[in-house]
Amino acid sequence: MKKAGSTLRRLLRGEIKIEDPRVDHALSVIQEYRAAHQYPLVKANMGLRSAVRAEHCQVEVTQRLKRLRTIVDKLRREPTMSLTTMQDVGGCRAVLNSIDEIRRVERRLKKNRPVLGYYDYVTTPRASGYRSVHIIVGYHDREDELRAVEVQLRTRPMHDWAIGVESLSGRLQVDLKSGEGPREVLDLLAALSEAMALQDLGQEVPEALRDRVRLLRPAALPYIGDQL
Amino acid sequence: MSQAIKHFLIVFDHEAGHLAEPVIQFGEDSQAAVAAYSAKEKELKDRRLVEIVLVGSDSLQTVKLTHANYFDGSVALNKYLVGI
Repeated sequence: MKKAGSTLRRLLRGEIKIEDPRVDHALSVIQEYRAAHQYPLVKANMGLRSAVRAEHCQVEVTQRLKRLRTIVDKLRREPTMSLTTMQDVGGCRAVLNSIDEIRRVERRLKKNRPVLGYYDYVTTPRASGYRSVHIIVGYHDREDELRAVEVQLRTRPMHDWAIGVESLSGRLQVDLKSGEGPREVLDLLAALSEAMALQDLGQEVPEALRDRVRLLRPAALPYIGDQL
Repeated sequence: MSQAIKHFLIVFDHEAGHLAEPVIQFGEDSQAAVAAYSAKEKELKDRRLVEIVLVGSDSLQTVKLTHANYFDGSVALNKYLVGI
């Protein structure tokens, strides 16, 4: 596993070429490791649905196995990270109706499963403006090995911000959520997230923040175009 | 929400701004879905602007809501920008 990670880092540093057979092998190792998360992920999805139902929330729940490219990008971005310490190879997500619902589902999940990690980006958003609650729970795979699965709890505005940014990241080929990309775009997205967080709480967006968003928008326009 | 989790493979072309091919549906066959996911990633590994995503949910309808960015050329944030 370590060797696969280091092969890919060498590829990203330009030391070996993509046609190198070692790259293909490294990718296969990662895919195999990722595949082991599918079964625990389905169980985590069921667990999340059950928690959501028990709290009488009406929501959509989905799951995803991390994209190969995102795994490789994360290894590049975080040199001390290894595949085995990556806690979000498998992830599932519920889009809830309020922050209160997030807290209720969160409490229930923590009660039901061993929690391997917890990140509250609602109380303390990332610098990019990303907001969500992440709970890392453990489920066993078919070989009875404990695998980490990341459960994300978001409200609709948090989700809209995240998928909007993901879509834009894909278009610009940068990871905006991790703070990469043009400053003009990052500043606009962070300010927009701040405003959306206030709206999420039913609060008025102060005029100063509205002005900041209006001022930042034209500078970001060449990058974002008319679709955001 | 029904109990069964179904699996969907999405191939999205960022350059073109739409799906590169119709969503592939695997029903509840999670192993077949993962195998096809890996095969598709290898097939398209040189296409940086093509995104391949394996999503599981109760229905394609739900996926279209939760991953709207792949289905409606998403303008998820525009409505908030306009409101400010």
